Amino acid sequence: MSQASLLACTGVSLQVRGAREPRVLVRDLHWQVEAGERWVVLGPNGAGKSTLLAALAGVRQVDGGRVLYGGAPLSAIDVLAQATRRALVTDRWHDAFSASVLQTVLTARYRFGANDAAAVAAATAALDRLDCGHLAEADIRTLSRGERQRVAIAAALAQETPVVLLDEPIAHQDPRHQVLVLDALRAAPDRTVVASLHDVNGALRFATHALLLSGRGEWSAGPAREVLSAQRMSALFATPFVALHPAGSSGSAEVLVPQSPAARDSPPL
Amino acid sequence: MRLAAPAARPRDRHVLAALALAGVASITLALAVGSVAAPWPAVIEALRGDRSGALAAIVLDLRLPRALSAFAVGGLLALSGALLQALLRNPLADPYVLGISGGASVAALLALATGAALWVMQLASAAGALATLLLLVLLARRSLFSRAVLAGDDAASGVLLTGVMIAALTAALLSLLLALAPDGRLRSMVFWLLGDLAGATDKPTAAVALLLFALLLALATAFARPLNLILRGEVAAYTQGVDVDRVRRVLVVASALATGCAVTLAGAVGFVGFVAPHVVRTWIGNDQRVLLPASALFGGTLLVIADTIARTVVAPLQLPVGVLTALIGVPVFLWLLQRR
Repeated sequence: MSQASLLACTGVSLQVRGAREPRVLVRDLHWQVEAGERWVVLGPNGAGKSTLLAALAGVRQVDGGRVLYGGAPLSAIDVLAQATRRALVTDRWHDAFSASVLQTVLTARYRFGANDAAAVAAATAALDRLDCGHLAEADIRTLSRGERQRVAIAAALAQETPVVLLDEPIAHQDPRHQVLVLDALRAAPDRTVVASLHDVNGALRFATHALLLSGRGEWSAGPAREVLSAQRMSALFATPFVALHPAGSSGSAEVLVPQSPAARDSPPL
Repeated sequence: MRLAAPAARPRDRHVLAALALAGVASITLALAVGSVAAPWPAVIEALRGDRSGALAAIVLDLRLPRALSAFAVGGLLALSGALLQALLRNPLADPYVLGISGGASVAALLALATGAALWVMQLASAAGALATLLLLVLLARRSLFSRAVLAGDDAASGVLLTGVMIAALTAALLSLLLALAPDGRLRSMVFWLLGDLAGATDKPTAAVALLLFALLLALATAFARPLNLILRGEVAAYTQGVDVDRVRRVLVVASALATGCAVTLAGAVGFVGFVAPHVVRTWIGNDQRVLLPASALFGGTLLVIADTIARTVVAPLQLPVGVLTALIGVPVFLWLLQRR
């Protein structure tokens, strides 16, 4: 066992509750995240990516095993101290009342206490990094989903935690902002990032490591260039992927393109 | 558009100072106005402790405690309403949504129907409020004391639904009591239900009311920062460092206690608790650090003014103050709503 990884799972199991027969999403996950790594979590719909991120953030209990931050079980860290360890970006927002974008990002500074002189500067810098600087004074309820999602990511960065957990951070982004968000996460100094993505090429662009979830309990983890292969993606998504090497690209750069599933698997039109 | 950070604090202080001043002005006005008009020199003399004037007794022993009680009751109701609107993330919430006042009213009307003394009625009302609060906590225990790390949105709606059901039950019981009450007592019962400060005109009552108001306001304001975060989503608040379930437990009980105190003192005064936070929100936004104290001050002022009108327009008759609060509050609120 590695000594005090930044973030680790030991024997973590996750289930979907409520059903008569609980469905196992992740079984006995042993996984370490070290400082400076950028992990992508990949898997088909319903594989448990969001559930895992929620468990890593402590907003959902694990159904077995433990989540450790710096060797300490998350459940033994009090809520305020947890906020110094990790930030979470979900894709659900409750903007029932009017507030400015800047105010919304400033809430992420809660852990710094009531007299936080650096709050506005940190929030503004985070907004600028996500191409939202011009929205600072806008009402949060007037934003598009893509803009709202970037504001949520800015808030997570403004929280200044060593670990940032993101649930599909580019789901609502246009191509320009997909690149911009992933680059902002890659460029964030001394942040360790765990993000679920559906875009395999986004993962190739962004991640140093990848965790694959099958949704039936199996998982596999490793360096991105080993795990993110056409063969592994084909198996994971039950869809053939081919690797293309764009002309002019350097040796390792490749693009994974999903093909139509084999005729016998395709649904009747 | 305002910023939440230090930049906005001076303006917030000005708003609070202006509201406090309005509160003092409304209480001073309440001392001078009534079935017997007291000229300003007489009011000032009385306030200085000079009891020689003929009006001193009326000003000091009747009007002052009543005005202070009205201020405390209005403040408690507005505080309770502001807390519930934030906690339940529902702009329709008011202090009566959880049924606490219904429970207090049932007990108070039972006492009134049997012709009990005023203090018995107030005691019964307080006991009814507490019993209803216990019932609420008991029935909503799964929402309030969830075993999950974060109960999430289900918790707020669980508490709300339980409260609404308790309120519906107490409303039925109130109707039953009114239907069965002896004719002679019906009038006083209806009057109490509409809100009536006549029972809060002695000094000890006013002192207790003000003390409870100050305590609960201080408690609520201490939780204003975490409440700001809860307003923007519970998962986000939790990951940003707020123990959401604990804050919710404390503030649900605080707001229920505020409502219970107010109803015990003055009956079910309507509308202040709903409208005061909304009016203040249109002025200063939704930062709970300012909104909670500002709503409380505004609610107190509103009720003092309403009560002063209620006991003067058709003096020596008194109107139910709860009717006045709605008659003043609805047009003001609608005007603000139109202007937005």
